[in-house]
Amino acid sequence: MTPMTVPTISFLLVSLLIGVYAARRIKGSVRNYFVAGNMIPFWVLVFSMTGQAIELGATHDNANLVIGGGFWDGAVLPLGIGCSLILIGLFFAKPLHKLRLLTLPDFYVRRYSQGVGVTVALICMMSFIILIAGNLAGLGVLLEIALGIPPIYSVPGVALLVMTYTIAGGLFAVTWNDVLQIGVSIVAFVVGIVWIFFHLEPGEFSKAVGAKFSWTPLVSLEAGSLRLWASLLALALGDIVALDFMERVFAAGTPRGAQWSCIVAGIMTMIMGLILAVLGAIAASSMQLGDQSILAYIQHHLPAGLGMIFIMGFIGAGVSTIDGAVMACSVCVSRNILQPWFPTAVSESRLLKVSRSMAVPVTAIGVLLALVFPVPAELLVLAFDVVFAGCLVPLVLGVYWKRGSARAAFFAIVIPSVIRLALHYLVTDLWKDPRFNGLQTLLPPLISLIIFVLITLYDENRRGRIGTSA
Amino acid sequence: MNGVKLGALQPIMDLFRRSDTRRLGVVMLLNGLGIEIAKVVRDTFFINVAGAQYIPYVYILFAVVMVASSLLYAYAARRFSVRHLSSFAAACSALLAAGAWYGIFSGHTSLGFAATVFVAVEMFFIFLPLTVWAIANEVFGLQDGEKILPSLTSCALLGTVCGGVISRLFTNIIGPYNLLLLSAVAFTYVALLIGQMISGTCELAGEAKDTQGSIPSIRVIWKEPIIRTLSLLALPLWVLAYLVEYTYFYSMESVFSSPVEFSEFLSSFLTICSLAALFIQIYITPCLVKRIGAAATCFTYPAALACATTALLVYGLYPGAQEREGYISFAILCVLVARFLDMSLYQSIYESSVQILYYAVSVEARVKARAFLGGIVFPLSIACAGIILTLFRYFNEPIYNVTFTAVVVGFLVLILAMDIRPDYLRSLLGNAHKNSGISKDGLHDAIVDLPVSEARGILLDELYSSDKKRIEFAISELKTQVDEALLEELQDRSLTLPNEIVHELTKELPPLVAQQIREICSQKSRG
Repeated sequence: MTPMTVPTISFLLVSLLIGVYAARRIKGSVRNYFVAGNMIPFWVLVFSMTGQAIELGATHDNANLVIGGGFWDGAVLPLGIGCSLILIGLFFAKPLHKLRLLTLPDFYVRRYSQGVGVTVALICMMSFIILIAGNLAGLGVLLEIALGIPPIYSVPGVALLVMTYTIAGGLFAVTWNDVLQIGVSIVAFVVGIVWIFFHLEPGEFSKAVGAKFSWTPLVSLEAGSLRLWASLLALALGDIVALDFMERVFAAGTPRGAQWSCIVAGIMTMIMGLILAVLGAIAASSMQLGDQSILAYIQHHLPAGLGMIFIMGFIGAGVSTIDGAVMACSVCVSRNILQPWFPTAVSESRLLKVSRSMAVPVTAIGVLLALVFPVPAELLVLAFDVVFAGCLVPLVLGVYWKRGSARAAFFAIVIPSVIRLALHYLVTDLWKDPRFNGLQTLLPPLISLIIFVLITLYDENRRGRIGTSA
Repeated sequence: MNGVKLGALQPIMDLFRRSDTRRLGVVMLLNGLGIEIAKVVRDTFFINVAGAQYIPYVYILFAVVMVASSLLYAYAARRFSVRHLSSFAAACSALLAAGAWYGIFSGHTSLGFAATVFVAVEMFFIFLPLTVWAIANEVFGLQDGEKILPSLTSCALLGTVCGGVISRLFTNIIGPYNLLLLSAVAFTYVALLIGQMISGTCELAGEAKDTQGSIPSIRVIWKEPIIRTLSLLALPLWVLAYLVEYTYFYSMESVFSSPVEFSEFLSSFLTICSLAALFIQIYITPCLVKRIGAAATCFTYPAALACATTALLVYGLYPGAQEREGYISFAILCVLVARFLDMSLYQSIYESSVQILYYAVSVEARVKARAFLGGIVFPLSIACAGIILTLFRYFNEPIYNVTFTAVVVGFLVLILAMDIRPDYLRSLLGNAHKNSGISKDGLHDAIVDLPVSEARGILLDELYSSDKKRIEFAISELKTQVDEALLEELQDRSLTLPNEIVHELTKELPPLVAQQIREICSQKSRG
């Protein structure tokens, strides 16, 4: 038994209890399972959205990136995700909540066509499976420290636990668990950083942060500002099309609740992320070269209690994202991919059962990817870049521009997505130059915008001509 | 006095003006006083004789004793009225307090005796308020109860304040343990007062109901949503409260070495907590109950307790904080904050709002529900707390692991407490036509207190009831909130809802919309 066995087990056990308890709320209703009956209170939504936003990337990887690079290398992750939530709150939460949708691809189906919905669902599904795998792989490392169990056992174990409660309680289980999981993370990070702050030598804090902080990476092309801005925009704009965020928007009791929970969660995400970035800076100043990772700092430079708290905070961040991603992905597969293709097999009355069943393959693929390809950070960035490239423009213009056609949306999704993949796999040398690195992320959405507008105008023009000749 | 305006204190004065409520007020006051004094003596004695390390074992012992006592209580509840039980409980408490004093006075300082005193005082704390609340619930209806129960809680708190002040003043003069005699006197007087109620010297507003032979089984009780939720909530809630208490004693033990100093500190701290609780009870609880309803008010305590655990965690993270004798450090202050939140909010907001929640079930069910919560759930959770703490000690787990577990349990409590509001409404709706204490206004208030989407879901569930009156009430309420979301819900449920109910709900809608919904419903039914 390690010193972290009891906290880890109690944490996971209570997660399971909450999930199983939430199952009584489902009552055989698809709406209850998918969007928690549209009755999640404001404060729970705030926790839940924050929990979904603060994954291992925005916490653990963020701190590591600050240690290995500069302040902005890590901080850009939570800042981008936080901005995305604020943008959803300001511009999308209210109009989308009023539509009473069950999944985000439902919007594309309602606004454009079934085919567009299926395409978006496929892209989102792939990106979310990679997100699950990334977080499971990270959790494997953390659980090895906490419990001394190798990832080959701990990853399937945690995945099974998360899958069980997600299947049982749907979005109720996921959001209620987010309260626990991200609550623990928030408590851990805030208490931890306050403790560290009061235990530093006078002047050490400003010295540590000063050593890592600089405005240059944001303004100098040579210093890689394009890459930073691309990451920020990809997260801030690309995550608007996040299935899990939108699921929570739909689950809110009122449009106003949806709006404000996004905004508050966005701010909380930024604050938490900045705390971790600062922790990374402090860790970098306290450690010798060669030993540099946030886990090494936590294990060797902090008291045991504080180390436990941080590890539990990371585990909470990871689990809260995995359950939300499993939920969003399985629901999206059943409703937006399987149901349109097999309407008889996946009828309305069977949708709940199928959605629950889909959590099994989704989790299994995630586990497999996490164990076979345990560091898919690059793949994760690429997956969400593809979503950013193709799905954003049809969503934004779908809400705010009434003229967009289904054909325009389809091509605006497919062509830029393919271009983004091609830029990644076919053009590799160009991105090694810091002056250009980032263009591969920023160009495809612009192409998507141009395609969408041009095809829509062309379609209108053609319809007008047909109408005139008729 | 009639012309004098006392603001928030007015309800308490009114309580003492009315002959039917005065006696209950005095009983509450004396109970609070006696229990508070007994607690100070018990804690001082136990920590000095045994030490905080034995607290986990005492919790387990208490759970066992509590189960046995509860079985006796349940047996007695079937045969005697709650007034007889209350009087008997007070008399027993007086005897136990006097016996404990005699034991201490005779020089008994064994661990077994200290544990017995601990368990006995904890029993006062459980059974005395439990039986008096049962009398109050029996006598007042929901509308009266919402006004009177908070005032009764204020009386109990006034008693605890007096108890704390008396302990603080007299510890130095008569010694920390002789105060137990005062407790014995207070409990004796309580027994006599309730005895007068039984003999009919005092007429209470309501008629005591004959509950003999009509007490429902636990299975029936468990079907009551609010009782189920309160029971499920009570389990981790009490575990948490006892984890807070354990950490409190664990940290304080190292700060004070002399029994007199420790006793003085305990009484001062309890007085502060009780004063705060009294203030909250007088100025905040009534406002909260009025504005957000009893069920939402009830949520405050679990939420505060969840926050309190964070303070405990801070204490746990400061290695060596417990070694600073005679010094209240920042870390120790965190424990005090946690204990303060626990004690002040439990005695004020939680206690009185939970009593109001009991009105959602029938009088018979209340007696059984109290016995179930007090006799099974409560000992079970104390045993859990004891076992958890014993295991922590056995595996030499550091204090930060204990406090972290408390944080996790705190969040669990928060989640479970979220069901109080909807389940209160479910129970109210389920019992409205059986329980004369529930008025239509009370029901409407509970519906308005919930977010529209949540209340709508519960009202739609009512449409499946076999009771025609319940369906009619649900329809009348749903008609006031017809919008797109309701229509969509109706469509979702069209397969299972009878057509006449859908027809009834849609008949006042614009004809075109109503027709559309009916068509969808009939299509789905055919499908």
